[in-house]
Amino acid sequence: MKRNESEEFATFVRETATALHRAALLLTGDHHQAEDLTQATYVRVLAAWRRTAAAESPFAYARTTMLNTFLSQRRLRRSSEAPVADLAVDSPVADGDPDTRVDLLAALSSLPPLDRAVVVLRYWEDRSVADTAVDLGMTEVNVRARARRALQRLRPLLASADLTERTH
Amino acid sequence: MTTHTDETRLREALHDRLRDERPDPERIIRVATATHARRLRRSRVGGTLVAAACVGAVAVGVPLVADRAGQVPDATEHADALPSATAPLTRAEQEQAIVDLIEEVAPGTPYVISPRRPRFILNHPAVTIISDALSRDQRRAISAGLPEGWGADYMKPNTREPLAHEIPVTVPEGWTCEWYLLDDKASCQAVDGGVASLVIRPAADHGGWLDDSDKGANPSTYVTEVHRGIFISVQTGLGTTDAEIQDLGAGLEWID
Repeated sequence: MKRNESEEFATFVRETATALHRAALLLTGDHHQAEDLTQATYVRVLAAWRRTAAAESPFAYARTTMLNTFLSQRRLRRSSEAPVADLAVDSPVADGDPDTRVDLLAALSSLPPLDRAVVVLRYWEDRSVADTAVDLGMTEVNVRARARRALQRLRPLLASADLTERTH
Repeated sequence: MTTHTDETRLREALHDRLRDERPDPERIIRVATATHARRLRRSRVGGTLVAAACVGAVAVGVPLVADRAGQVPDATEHADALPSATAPLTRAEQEQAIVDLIEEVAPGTPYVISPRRPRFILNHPAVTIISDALSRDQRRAISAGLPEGWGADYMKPNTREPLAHEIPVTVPEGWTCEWYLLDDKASCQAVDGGVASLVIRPAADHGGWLDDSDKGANPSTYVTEVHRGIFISVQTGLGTTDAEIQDLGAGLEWID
């Protein structure tokens, strides 16, 4: 790698690390795993730096790399995860009791990995349904269904949060 | 049925929750650069090993790898640093081989090994070698002589002391932990494969961890009481339930 490419990469990391790390935290729900995922993403980005730098949006390239890394790791570990149906029954989010403060990250981590990825793209990155579908290689119907399910799961938590009601 | 308000609330909640989360970009750059360089070296060394096999070489050790790679001209003095590769080494033998290698390449140089396995970055085992006295050539010699498939990171020692110089707690039956005291951390695994992490923290942070739902005040984290100026946070990992984390945390016993 040439010196100027190393400097370009370093600049890119400084400009994007916060956003990617936060997305990683939403995906993993764990600070340590988020650090690992962010680091793994940048290792891959560096390995393909020329391709990344030449992309229309290097950040979007890195974000896609992160999602692929996250989802591939989750697929490898899928056998150790609880079925979604069980999670839906046991979820503390369904409680809705405002006295029972449920952390947003913990609530997110109870969602299936693909639902989390949809949440990150739709509500953290503010991507459209169509763009999210392309990014995750699924249909728009599937994106809407997963987003709806995630919102339904998180609604009690959002209702108890001290947020200003929007009227538009 | 979901509404536009739900979506807006979720957007605001996500951004509000993560507002204070900031990574260390300089560390990311350092580790990414080192990992990338190591992979390049490994791919070059791998090519050299194939060439060596073609000419009938049997023993695969530091001098063969290093000399043919053209990286370390004086590496012949480390001829017996690694056992022959004709028989597979156990993990313990590999770790011992790395210690022997460092001692051969840099005799008398102070160093610490942290046998850490990054969960996402590599599919191969890796060691972190912490020293401020290894020269560039010595690092190259060590990297070239690692057992096949291993990688190494090189770090300078922390300027601060670790919070604990010895393992501070025992873990309940069914859990095994690997401690990285220089990082104030341990990585733990249950017999069923679930993982968790322990982090040693200063007593001054205890109140914040008990009160903050982003930190310890949530079901997936357990926070011990303060003991001799430190406490430990137990955080959930893949394949571990909140109840298991609570049991793990409650089962920790301080070692005096």
